Amino acid sequence: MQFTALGDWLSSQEGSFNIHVAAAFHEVADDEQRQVLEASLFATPRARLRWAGEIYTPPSILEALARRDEARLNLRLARHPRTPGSSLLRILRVSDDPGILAALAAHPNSPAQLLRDLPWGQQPPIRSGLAGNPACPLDLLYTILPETTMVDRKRMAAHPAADGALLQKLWEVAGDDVYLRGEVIANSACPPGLLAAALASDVPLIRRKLAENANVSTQALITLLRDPVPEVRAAAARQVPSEAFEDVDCEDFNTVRRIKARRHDLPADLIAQLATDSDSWVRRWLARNPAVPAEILAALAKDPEREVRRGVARNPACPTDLLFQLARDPEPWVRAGVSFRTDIDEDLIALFEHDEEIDVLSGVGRNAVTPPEWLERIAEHANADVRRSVILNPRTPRYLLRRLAEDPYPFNRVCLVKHPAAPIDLILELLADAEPQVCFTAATMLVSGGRKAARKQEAASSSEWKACRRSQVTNSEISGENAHENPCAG
Amino acid sequence: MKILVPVKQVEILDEDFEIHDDGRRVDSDYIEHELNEWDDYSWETALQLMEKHEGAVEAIPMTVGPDGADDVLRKCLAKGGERAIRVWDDAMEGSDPIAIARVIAAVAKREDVKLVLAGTQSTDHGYGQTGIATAALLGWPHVAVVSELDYTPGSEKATVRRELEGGVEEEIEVPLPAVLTIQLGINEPRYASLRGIKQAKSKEIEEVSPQDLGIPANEIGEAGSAARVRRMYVPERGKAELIVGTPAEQAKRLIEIVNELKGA
Repeated sequence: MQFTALGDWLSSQEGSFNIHVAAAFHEVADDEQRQVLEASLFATPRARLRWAGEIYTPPSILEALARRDEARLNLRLARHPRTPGSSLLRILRVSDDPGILAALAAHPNSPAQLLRDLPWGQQPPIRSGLAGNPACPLDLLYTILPETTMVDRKRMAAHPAADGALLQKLWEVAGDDVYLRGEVIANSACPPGLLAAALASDVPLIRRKLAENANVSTQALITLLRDPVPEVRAAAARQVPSEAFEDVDCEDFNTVRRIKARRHDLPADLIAQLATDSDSWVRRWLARNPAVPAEILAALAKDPEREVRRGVARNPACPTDLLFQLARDPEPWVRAGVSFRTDIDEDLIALFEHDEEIDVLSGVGRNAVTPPEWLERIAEHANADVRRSVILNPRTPRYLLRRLAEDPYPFNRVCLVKHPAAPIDLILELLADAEPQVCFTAATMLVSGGRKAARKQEAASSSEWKACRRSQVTNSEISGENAHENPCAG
Repeated sequence: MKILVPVKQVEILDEDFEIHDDGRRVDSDYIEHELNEWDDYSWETALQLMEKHEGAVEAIPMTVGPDGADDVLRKCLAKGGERAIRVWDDAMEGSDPIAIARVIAAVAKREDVKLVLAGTQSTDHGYGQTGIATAALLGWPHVAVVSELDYTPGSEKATVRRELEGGVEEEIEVPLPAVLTIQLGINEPRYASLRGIKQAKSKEIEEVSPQDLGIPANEIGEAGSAARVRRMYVPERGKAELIVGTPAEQAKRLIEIVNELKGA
């Protein structure tokens, strides 16, 4: 269904339609159609409150609700993350409720002028909202700074718009508050002078935050890698160049070793060392690391810990012979690590033909190389999660999707509606599903499918027109019998 | 044999709400409704008995409420069962669990049921009394918070397990007829199939008034209730503390609180 056929759908409903479908179609409806939809959507105060509060409510409906200027709705609208800025402006014009104003101050869609117009001088909650709002302009942060609390200042220190000068001010007003200073140091806009001060700080939190700063120098990171406090070393281990590792003595804090094990640039001797680490989480992270050579993976594939073996099975660089070995592992969780891979072939999948473990079946069901006759069997499984795996399989045949449209578990039907091969007529049927989430999703898919088709058509028309212009084909150069095929004609 | 399963359409409050002008309830505009969670399990229990002993057991869901409450009955019928009963009269407004229990007991007698499976409590009011009060009015034995049920239709007794404090369970043999209040987790409630949902639309829901059941007006509604709501309000803030600050600060304060409570 193209969204241009919405009018036909509306007519077919004879004035009584599913409000969740109506909500999804609202966005693409014209003004007249919206009036019809809104008559049902907004029929009762409870319904209006519900739409103002539901997280999935489309922005066009929130806009329509804001135009009603109902005080009870405005608090919910002011808090709703999808309410457009124009609607928030409208709410500000008609509201003086402190709760609403605070919500507007905190809303990321609030336009800058709205934020400047708020009475922040009289109301601390408004200042708090502004301090944490990523949409709050920098000059306003400077303006409210003298009247903010320490909690607000921490939000400001983490603000994406905070510049070096603001961070310097925050550092100076922090006094003994090491948490505020830590937030200043962690900000990527932190001035170099403060970064240097942080390196010399006797507060571990500040040094740790320094190690987390994306702009910290390599030399500072190397210094922090040798810090006496393990949490600081762990933070440094995330981004210090791997060459620094070779110069460091054997690390006794397992968190640091775990972080190292995840690095894709480890030196070979460190990989070998970590492969025999006493901490199973270190070995687990290493097993998943695509930079680990095959011989190390082969050793980890025999690890006594099942999670380590599963890590190898999930490793993108795991050699095929190891996958065959792990597909025969006594632990279902490990075998599932193989069955879930999207890069295995029919020979590997064949090993799971008689496997009845739920975790394994969930992987087999969603695997693109699984034979259709297996998918039919898995689609009948008593476990809803196993059945869903077939729905999530991009190669599931349409006849099976039709059968699964009767699945009793609502979330499975939601997933089915989203399947790229779900037939349009099936999606249309699911517009009448008893579960609101299913019919809403079905309608949303039709709307987005209609939009994609329209964009394709538009792009196709545009490129055809451009091609015509380039070739300077005119009607006069085309024989009369072919004129109707000329995309530039008429 | 017949099993009666009283189910309740409970109220779900939104995060923000207003108290009604009468000061005794929440403004209905802020309320959504759904089937009481415990009743989902009690209905599933009945369905499993019905399926296991096909033809020997009829399970009947019932509810007390205005016509909007048909929703919860249809939800039950979508999973199984052939008919349902709804009892209402506007005079029932303000009924407490005792008044409701009178209605359930009357239906149980009218239908000549052998077993009443009620949810242990409701998610909105949580009194936990309705099922037990029903048993008292019927003069039947009752077992509360049943976590396991073993019963064969035709038998004069059922064996149940119930949860006690400290993870202890007790096993009880209870003679029928009886009222059992069912605990969460006794089974895994099924989802209704699409076919079941469609079929439920045409299944019978019998509407009955308290008068039809022979219950006098002074035994229902506020007149028939032992308790009434005097006032509903949002309490003043108590001992709760909002822990603010950065994650590191919050963690530090949490540790302080834990240590204070431990007496460290």
